[in-house]
Amino acid sequence: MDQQTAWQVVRTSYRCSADLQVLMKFLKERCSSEDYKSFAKAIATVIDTMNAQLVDRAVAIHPDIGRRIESDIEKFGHLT
Amino acid sequence: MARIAEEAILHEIKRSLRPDWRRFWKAGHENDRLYKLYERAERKFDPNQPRVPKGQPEGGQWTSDGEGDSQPVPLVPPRSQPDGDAVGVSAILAKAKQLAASGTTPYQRCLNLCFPILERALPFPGSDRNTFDFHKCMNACLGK
Repeated sequence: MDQQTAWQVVRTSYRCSADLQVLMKFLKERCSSEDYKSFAKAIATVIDTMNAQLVDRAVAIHPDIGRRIESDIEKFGHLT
Repeated sequence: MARIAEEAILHEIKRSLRPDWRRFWKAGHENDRLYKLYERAERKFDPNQPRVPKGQPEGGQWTSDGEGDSQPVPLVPPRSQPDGDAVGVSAILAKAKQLAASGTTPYQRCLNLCFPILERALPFPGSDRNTFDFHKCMNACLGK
């Protein structure tokens, strides 16, 4: 896998995580505390799975991507 | 013919049956045909059935010609607790499920620890800060 493709994997994973965090906020406003907690933990598990299975995998192939993620977060607060 | 074949299988099972055979059986497969055959073979066990005397090539094997010891040594002792092993495995499985459900696995503990990061208000829409910090937290907690 080339670095550009690996970067696309990371960006997509982060975008999905962002969408799921928006969903978490939405559920917090609309659901009972019990329902929210259950779904929020499930969402956290999904986000962690994406991080472990997609982001970490891409970084393992191209360690430069790890440095780029850190740099982007420091400079811009999001991936570019 | 089928009955003869089954009796032959039962005979072979009975010859090699271990008292702890249930230990080697995968939990949840107690309705398998083979499991039933093993149970049947176990029930058919007769400690008084004559056996070839010890010290001979066929020593200890079942026999029906009356040449056995007056006090035969059973190959398979009767089970004092017929379902002891099966119950033991079930209890362990139940305990493992309880532990997993109580959130005491390392993964659950890490998730509980790091999860509040995802609940933080984002500094601006589209920020990836929470995802990044959550990722770092999980990796650190899990020792990656």
